[in-house]
This record gives sequence, structure tokens and C-alpha cells, in this order.
Amino acid sequence: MHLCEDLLTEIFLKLPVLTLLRFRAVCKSWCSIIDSPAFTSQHFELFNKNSTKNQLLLIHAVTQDDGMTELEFEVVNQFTFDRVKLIAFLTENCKIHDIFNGLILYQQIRDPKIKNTMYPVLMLLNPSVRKVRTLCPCTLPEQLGHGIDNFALGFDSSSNDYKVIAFGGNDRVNANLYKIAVYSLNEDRWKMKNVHVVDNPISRYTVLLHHRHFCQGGVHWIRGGRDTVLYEGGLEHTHFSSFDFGVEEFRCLPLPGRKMFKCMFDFEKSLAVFGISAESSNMWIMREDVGEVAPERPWVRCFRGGSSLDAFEFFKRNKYARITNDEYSGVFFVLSWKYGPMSLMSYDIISRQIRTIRRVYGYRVCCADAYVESFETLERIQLRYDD
Amino acid sequence: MASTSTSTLSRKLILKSSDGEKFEVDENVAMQSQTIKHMIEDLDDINSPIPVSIVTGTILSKVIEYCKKHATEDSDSDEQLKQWDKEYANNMDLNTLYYLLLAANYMEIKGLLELITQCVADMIKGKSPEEIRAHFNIKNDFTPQEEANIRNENPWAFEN
Repeated sequence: MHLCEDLLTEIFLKLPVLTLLRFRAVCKSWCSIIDSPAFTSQHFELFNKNSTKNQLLLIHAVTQDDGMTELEFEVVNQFTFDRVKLIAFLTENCKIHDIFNGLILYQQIRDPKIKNTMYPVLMLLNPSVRKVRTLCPCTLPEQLGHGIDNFALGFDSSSNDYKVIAFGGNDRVNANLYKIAVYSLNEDRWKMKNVHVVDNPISRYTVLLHHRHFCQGGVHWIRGGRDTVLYEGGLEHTHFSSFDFGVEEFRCLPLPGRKMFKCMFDFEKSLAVFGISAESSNMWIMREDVGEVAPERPWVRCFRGGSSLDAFEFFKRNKYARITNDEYSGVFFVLSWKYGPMSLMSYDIISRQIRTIRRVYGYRVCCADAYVESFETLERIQLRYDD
Repeated sequence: MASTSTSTLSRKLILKSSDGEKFEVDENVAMQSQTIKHMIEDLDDINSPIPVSIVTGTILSKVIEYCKKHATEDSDSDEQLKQWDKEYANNMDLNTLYYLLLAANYMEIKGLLELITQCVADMIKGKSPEEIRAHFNIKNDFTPQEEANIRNENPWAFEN
């Protein structure tokens, strides 16, 4: 029984990473198909589109039988919260900065090995292949006494490279030049960079794990701090910031809608905004043609419906939660753990119903994100790091 | 005039398998195969049998069964069609699946190719390298040392 490479590839694209790691040992030709970089990226796109949708990765702290606490990486069904599988454990002493493309960017705190370095040491973990890579230390000098506490992971398709951006949060910097550091996984080095900031887009209050969205080559987040205006019923966000991993620059663009609670999400690979007031709920999608030059009217409204005071309050109360949208049903899932035990709730924008689905265990939830499997082995070309 | 257009719609084609078996099918059934679609475009005489050279009669009848089901679009809901696909694929042994896969690939029937590759993937998911080699009759061309190295890169993946 002989199958040509094309047909084998078609079959392999439908198999999970664990099975493919086994199949590398079948024979040389199978191994070389699975190991090819083109297959890695194709598999990531196709497998996750078909097989891992509606799965959520939960990272929460649990106490094991021996009394030790650990971070547990659990894959659950996003509708029922039933466990699909456990994929990894980490020591509890780490801070998770970002999750992107199945990779987890984290920092180990209180690690005796790195106690003496004054610079943050970041790790990149791929739980699908159980590989961790320690990035070289980030030597970005602290600015005005503020720690470097903003890290975001992204992918630059022009250089086919994962990058990490680091910057210190500071709302009070007025200078037009701002120092940031950009890490390249291919080169394993940090590059210091001065970026021009028009009306400082960097705010340490804004970059939260679940308020960050990678799409169209950049990471986007809703700005807080000075970009809020008061209106009856609360604070409103007026702008969002982006960092483009290709040109490595910040941008600041206005958000659509007025007098409403807003959150971002991605909708079929486009950046989208959901806005809700007591009177109406709205969805906007960013035009595809967003390049370096921002179009005058970047947002196109694609949905407008009714609302209620209850619905508005529901979103305002959960503003730090992770909010996802199911593009087929129009249901928003809100995973909230800020106050009290974690709960998964949903809001249907058509029927305007709020439902609480199930509570989960674990005493501290670090994050929850769409679950995807990646073949990224993190074994890129290593250049010598010169200080 | 009316009769001409009706006859265009329900034109019959004759497909001939590699072992000489002939199948008369509606044009819209056969046209799900991109390969046949292209062949018809180049064909002057529509009445002569179209050779499907690498597919045997047994397999071709199965391919036609699939195409017939999928040619009548509005009779079934998506859900019913999926259920039919599932039962269709579940009734095949690995050998039939293999030849069906080659046929779907050769005849360029995208839906069937998707269905069969998914079915094969479900069958081999989680299997060990030894089971796979036996299944597909693949010769292990690694030296013992090479194979050990590959296993040692991800030892956890080979546990049970």
C-alpha cells in the first residue's frame, strides 16, 4: 500500500501533534514530510480550523496530592466546560504574559537560577510538543523607575519569525521618543529601538492578557488611562493601540461607537469591536485594507441590535474578563474570575439572554484562551548573544 | 426548444473503468469530478465511453454512489448528508479506502477526498509506529540508532 506524498500530507494535516510526533519514527519519508516547515504552518492553519475549535485552554493553579501547588494546563470544551485533556504543568511561580498561536510566553519569578540577573528572563513554552525555550535576558533599561512589565508575542510573516515586544508602562512619559525592545526568535536577540509616539500610546493600565488581540500582523489593545471619557454610567474608551510586528511601530486609532462599553475580538481574522449600551448593541469590523496609512473611516458596522440595562451592566461588571465571540451563533462567552469563583457566562446578542454555564475548580485562574496545537519546536537558528 | 434544454440538463455520460466495466451516469453526477469535467470539455463525441483509466469497476461504482448522493443538493439537509457520508465511509475496509482515496485523488473529487482522508486519519490516530508499518506495509528504513534518536527527541509521545 503506497501513498504519494500529497495524499499522505492530506491525511497528516488532520492528525493531532501527538500522533505526528509518533509517526516521525515510522520511516524516513514520513519523518521528512512532518518535519518540513511548510507542513508546520499548513498544519497549524488547517488542523486548528477543523479540530480544536470550541476548545479552551485554561491555566489555573491547583493543589496536588502532595500539597504542592502547580499551574495546570487544561483543555476544556468551551460550551460544557468538560475536560478534554490535560496538556502540561508548570511551577506556580511564574507569570504568564501572553498566549499566541499555541505558544505561551511566561516569566519565572523567584527562580534561584536567575535571581542575580537584573533583567527579566522570559520563557517560551509550546505545550503541544512540550518544549520550552529560555529567551536571552531583556536588557531594556527601566524608564523613570517603572518596571518592564509589558510583553506581547506576535508573528511577522514577512520574516517568518516570532517576535516579542517589551516596553515599560508609563502614563506620564511626555517625550516623543520611547525606548522599546523587540526580540526575534530566529536570531535569539533583543534589539533596542526608539519609537516615535504621537500622543503616548503606551499605558501600563491597558495591556492586559485578555485585552490583547493579534491579527493582521499586529497586536491590538484598547487604551485606558487618558483615553477615557466620562459619561453617564461610566468610563468610555475612545482609542486603541496597535503594534505592528513587521514595521515594528506603534499606531493609535479611534474606536467606533459612543457612550458604550467596548471590547475587542477577532472575527474571521479581522479585528472587531463589540460595543454595548443600555439601548443598543453593535459590532464593527475593521476594513481589510488597513496598511501603514490608516483609512479615514476604518470601522464598518456589521451588526446593530437591541440591549437592556441588565446586559449593559453584565459587560461593565466583567470588563476584565476574557470575552470571546462565536461568529456562527452570535453568542458572546464571558469567562470571568475577577470577583469570586470563576464562572463561564454567555450572552446571546439576538435573544439578549445571559446564562451562567458552570463553575470550575482551581483556586486561581491565570488565563483562558482559545486552544490551538502548534508544531513550532522553538529550535530556531541560534546566534551568539553579544551583550 | 424546450426539449433541447431538458436533454442538455439530463445528458448521460458513459464512464469506463480500468477493467472495462461501463457505467451510465447523469452529467451532473460525473461533473463532480474535475478530471472528468476537463475531459468532457475537450471531447467532441459525448456518446463515446470516457475512460477512467486507473479505477476498477468495483471502486468506480462506489465513487459514483458518492457523486450521486452529492449531486442532488436540496433533497437532504447538511446534517443528513454528513450522516450519510459517515455511514458510507464506515462501511469500507482499509483496502477499499485506499483505492477509493487514489480514485478520489485521480478524479479530483474534493468532497470525497476530504471524507476519505479524514476517515483514514481517524483510523490511524494515536497508533504506534510499529502498528502503522504493519498497517501500511511500510519498511522501516531507519537504522536502530536513528530511530532511537527520533524517539528520544519526544519520549513522552511514545508512552502507551
